[in-house]
Amino acid sequence: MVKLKEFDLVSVALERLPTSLGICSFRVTSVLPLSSFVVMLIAAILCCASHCALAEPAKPQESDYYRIITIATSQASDSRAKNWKPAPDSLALEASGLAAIDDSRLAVAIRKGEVWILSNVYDDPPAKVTYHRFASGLHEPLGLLLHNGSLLTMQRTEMTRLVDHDRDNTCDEYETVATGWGVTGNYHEYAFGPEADRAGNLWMTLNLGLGLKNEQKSLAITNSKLNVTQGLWRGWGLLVTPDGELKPMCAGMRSPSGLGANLEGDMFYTDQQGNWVATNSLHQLRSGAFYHHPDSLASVEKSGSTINPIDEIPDGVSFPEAIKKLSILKPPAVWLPYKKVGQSATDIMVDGSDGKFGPFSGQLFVGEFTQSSINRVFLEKIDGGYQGVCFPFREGFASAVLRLEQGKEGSVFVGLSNRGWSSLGPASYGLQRLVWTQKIPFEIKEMRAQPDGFELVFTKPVQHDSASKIGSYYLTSHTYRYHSQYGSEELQEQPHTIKSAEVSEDGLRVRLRIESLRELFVHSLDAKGVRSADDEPLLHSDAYYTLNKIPASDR
Amino acid sequence: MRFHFTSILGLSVFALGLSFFDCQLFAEHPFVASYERFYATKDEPDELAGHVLISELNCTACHPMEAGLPSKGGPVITGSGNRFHREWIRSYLSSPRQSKSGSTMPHLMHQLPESEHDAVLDALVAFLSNDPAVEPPIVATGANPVAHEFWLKGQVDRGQSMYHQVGCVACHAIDDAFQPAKKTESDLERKIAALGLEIDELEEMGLAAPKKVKPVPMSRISDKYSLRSLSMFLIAPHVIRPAGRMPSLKLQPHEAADIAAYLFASQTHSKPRNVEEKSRLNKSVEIASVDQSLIDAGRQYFEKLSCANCHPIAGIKPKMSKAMKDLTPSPDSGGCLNDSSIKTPRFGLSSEQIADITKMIESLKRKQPTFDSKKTASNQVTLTMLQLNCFACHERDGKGGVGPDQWAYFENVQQVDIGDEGRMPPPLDHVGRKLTRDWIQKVIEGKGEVRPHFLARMPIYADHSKALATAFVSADRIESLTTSAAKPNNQASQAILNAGRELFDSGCVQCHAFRGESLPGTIGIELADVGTRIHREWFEAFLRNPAGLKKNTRMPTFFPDGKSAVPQILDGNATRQIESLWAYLNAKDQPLPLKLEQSSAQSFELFPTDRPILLRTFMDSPSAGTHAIAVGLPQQIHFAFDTKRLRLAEIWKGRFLNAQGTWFDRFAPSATPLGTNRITLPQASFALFDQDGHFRLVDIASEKSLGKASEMQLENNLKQTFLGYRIDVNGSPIFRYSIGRFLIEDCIQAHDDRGLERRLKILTSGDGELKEQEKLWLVIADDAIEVDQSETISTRSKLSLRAGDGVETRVVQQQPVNYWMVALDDRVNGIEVVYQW
Repeated sequence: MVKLKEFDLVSVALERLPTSLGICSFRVTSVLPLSSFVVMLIAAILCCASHCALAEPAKPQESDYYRIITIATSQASDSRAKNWKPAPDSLALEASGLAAIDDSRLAVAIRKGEVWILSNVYDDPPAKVTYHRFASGLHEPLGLLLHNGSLLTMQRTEMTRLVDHDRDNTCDEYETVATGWGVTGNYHEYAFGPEADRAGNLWMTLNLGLGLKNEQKSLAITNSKLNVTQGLWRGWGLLVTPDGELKPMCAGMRSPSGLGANLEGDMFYTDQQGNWVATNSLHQLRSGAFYHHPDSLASVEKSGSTINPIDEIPDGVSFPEAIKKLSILKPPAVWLPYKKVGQSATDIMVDGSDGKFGPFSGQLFVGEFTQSSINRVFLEKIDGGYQGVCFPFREGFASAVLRLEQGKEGSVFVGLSNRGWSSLGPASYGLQRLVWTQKIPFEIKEMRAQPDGFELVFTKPVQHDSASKIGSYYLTSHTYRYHSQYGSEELQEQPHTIKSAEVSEDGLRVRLRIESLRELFVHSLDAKGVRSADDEPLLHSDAYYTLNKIPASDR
Repeated sequence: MRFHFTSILGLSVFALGLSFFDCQLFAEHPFVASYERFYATKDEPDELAGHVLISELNCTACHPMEAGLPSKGGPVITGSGNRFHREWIRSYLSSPRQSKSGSTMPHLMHQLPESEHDAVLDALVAFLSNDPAVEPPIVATGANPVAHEFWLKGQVDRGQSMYHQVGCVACHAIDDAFQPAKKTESDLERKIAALGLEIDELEEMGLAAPKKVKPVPMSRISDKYSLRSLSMFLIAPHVIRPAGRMPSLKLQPHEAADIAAYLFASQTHSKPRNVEEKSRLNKSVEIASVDQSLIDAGRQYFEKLSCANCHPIAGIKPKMSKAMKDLTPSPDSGGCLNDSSIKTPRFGLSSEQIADITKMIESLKRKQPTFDSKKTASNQVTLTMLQLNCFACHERDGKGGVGPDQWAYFENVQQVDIGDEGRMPPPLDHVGRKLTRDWIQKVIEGKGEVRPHFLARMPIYADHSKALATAFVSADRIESLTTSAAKPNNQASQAILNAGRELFDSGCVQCHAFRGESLPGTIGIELADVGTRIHREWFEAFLRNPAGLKKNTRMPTFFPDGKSAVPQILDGNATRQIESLWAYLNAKDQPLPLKLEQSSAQSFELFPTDRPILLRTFMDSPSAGTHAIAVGLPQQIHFAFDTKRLRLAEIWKGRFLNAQGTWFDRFAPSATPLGTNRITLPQASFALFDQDGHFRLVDIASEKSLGKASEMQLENNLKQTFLGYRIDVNGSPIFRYSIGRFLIEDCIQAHDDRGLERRLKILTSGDGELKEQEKLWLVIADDAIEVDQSETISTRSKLSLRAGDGVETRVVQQQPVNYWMVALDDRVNGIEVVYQW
């Protein structure tokens, strides 16, 4: 006869199933009232047949480590509907800018042009959140920053400081901080930011227009040598100095919908796959850099340009080749391989919580629109340039992830809105909060380039046997095509031989020695075979390292 | 964890014997859905039933038939070893119907000695595993989210809902554990209830009761598929099964993953496993290379057993057998109808199936078949609908339609009760008379969504669309009708169009959508461009007598006894009213029906009541342009300020703006003033005098349009900056900008409810008193400016302008533009200018 203890295991497992599983709750209730004999009999059958299922360790879930709290979400019409309407009778909380104010309040910019102050946002469950409109009449604000005591936002035509002189919690001055870039009226000319860097500069990025109509072209400028036409500084990153001067800094952006600084105060932006942009990417913003899209060079001869005019753009070559041919072209710090690490990267947020948000302090988190998720980036500096690795981090948000903002206790507000494109998840827009459950996931925390391979740093000690087996790892590398077409396939993909895997004494590091690394290629690692000392599999076994430079010596 | 639970779940189901799939009748004979529904229990053999079986059991794949009835064909077999678990293939080949209840694949192995079976199966499995799996590439785009390894990310609960809502249950088994969101009665249920009866009682009373429909059996999912291969199959079933009997329901990758997860969870007693795929980058599984001689042997058996007759493979010719008409359809003849024959495939037919096939073959022998699929279009329609099981959802000529057990699972998005029409797939009676051939074809191809409120989806039957659409049209054509869609009447007079618009408001708007707009809470078929879908004649006949064409319709009669219910429009003439409605519905450039406009306005029109409303937006040029701020005042006088050129650009009265485009339209259209008395002011803003006494316009935005005044010099050296605006206690904006050394505040408010009052204040003007030449002048341009005795300026656009007392003004009359100029000095309260119109 089977011990009841084992049956208990099963019923406990059954109870832990989500209640929305109609079938299961039904089964459970019908199991429990049965007479003990029948229970034993069923238990016997269950346990015999379930032997293999129960013997395997439970597969870890993202939700075990990072919990999503829904503050408000709504379902509106189809995200691409021509006559899109928000859900009736509610605030269209298409969160396009977030700024944590204090231990209770969060400012939220929404796409229709308002800023709302939400109070009691940290309640769990968030039952008593209140909403107060702070500012209105803005033109599609796509960012929000608390700066010197007031809120800054980016509208299509200007960077604006929202001042509340009489302190009645309603904005009474909309102060223009910067304006003057080209706005032709094309829908795709979004403006993002601002974010502040180490020196107190306020950065912004300007989308390219797409398919300019004739009357829009009359407001644009043309570089006839390259045959490109765009509004002034479209496709550029600009900054406003603390003295109020607006300076164009770097070009080649297509749809730079996210900015964010790391803990050192260096500024980064993400770009989205499209023409000339092989896949989503993350770059350091810096003077004179050119990233992808030649349309931005319409402004290259304008006063203030940091880029020397060029005569020709190579079209249809591999990215490493393009880097050779086009001296202004700078590789991204991280390529985010399409589908595997999202389909359209958005906001950048550094974890500055010093451990309150889990084991990834100082790393960057990147919002993902189409797949309604967040990815994670670890960067290192090789020969003065940033490069690094991206990992999947957390999926399952209710709609497209557009904005990220770290708040109290390291928790992260996630602003959602999928209008105009498409995303996974049941909602059209809203606000969620991601909270660390205090449990450490078993993850590859860092992947660092070495002269002859990579060093992996794990969040927990690894099990020596699995981690030192070269069969636990699989590594390929690929690059992309630099061309005027939309996106790029993964080019010149090849597997690499892993020669050895040495585990450090503390079990937290593994040194992989790899044959023939390739500079400027993305190295994709799958460490599926590695187990933690507690015999857990990795929560995410994939990592994608953008190897712009192979370091000269061990570090 | 998910799969772990799943497996336990599956176990409990298994242990309790409660799996809904297990509850299905185990079909020992081949299961052909429409045959089971309409013919399996008929007493008399039926020739049409025989036709259906001969096509669905692929008889003509071996036995040619002159009439050319095509066999449906089997699934694409290439790469199946990389799609399905190999143990499953093995067991399926050794006994198809034990692996898949009701399978239409015959038993073939019995033709070989039992002692050889093991070796033959090994060889066949090796052969079928030799090619990589054929899978459609899943292209991810901004419109198509495809998560990495999406097939591992399905959610059981979502999959369960989807399975019961999108249409799977029209053919496949219902899970009793799933409760529809709200059980709405179908029209028939309601009628039966009105009689005080229940459906089950009808039959007892000798009445014709809607018959229950047997679900199409599935294989044991977990034995056969991996999550990946099942998800891929659900996304594009036609790739594997080109016959199209299992159609695509237009599932997104994540939807397919959800349904796959659900099917595993509800049916399986072991967790999903990866199929050992033979792909280039397989990371986890090293497939032992298979002996080439075994593969070759498999190919030989494949050929020997005539598998290629149904599963075409390059290089293997089908082996044809006796022609259909030469067959002796007798169970004793030793052919396919005889299960003990060891020379032919064993079909395991039921006695009814044998009788129907026999009858059909005998009719061929008589050379005068009473049924010939090509003979009439009507027969072709019926046969195709039987083959594709269209009858599972659609009724035609009293046959088919959603089965009574399935009624509750066909719902609309809001569970609004608008009758069967509002949730059930539409009946197809006289559809060829109603719809244009092109539209029918489009619908059969799974496009043409006019019922976005349905949860169930019209599947894709692309390969059959053209033939079936043509057959519908031929079958239903009424000679007196034209066959092509009547062209929308482009010449309809505006009066006729207006009448159509009014008529829409008087009735249609209560239930129907127009250009994607509908009244709140209303769901109904889209009526815009109806002429691209519906024949004019049907439209008219339906309007005149809805119930005559659609029994049980909720469409009311607007023309009782042929007379219009709206006598005030077009003299109540029914013919002209219908004509006007037709013209309006098919017109491209007409405004929305008033009620829809008002409904939209309620949500998005801005009504300034107690305080001004500001909206930054794009406006057209030469209005306020791309850098506009539109301001609506409670006095119903409004203006738009161009923050790029620092000018009051447009003024109007009455209604303010509809903000929908600015707020929610992806393509960011320009906002257009709604009111009346609109005046767009010519582009000019400020001027300075030079030392010779000539004034120079400040070139605010370096726009070429300013060059119109050719003799004027343009001032390029002044820096002008928009500094933003403050909101005063009344909510009015005070614009702030600088021009050179001048810092200006510009406040525009209502003046006596009839115009605008603008106060410009110079806050700083540099050092010391201004010299004459250094004054800044506000400039208002028009092509004709006149001054009357009271110092009021009037322009051609009927604008009267007046400056405050003691303010210096000038008129400069040049060609082609005249200018009225107002000197700005630094008086504390600023300079006032009044605009009246």
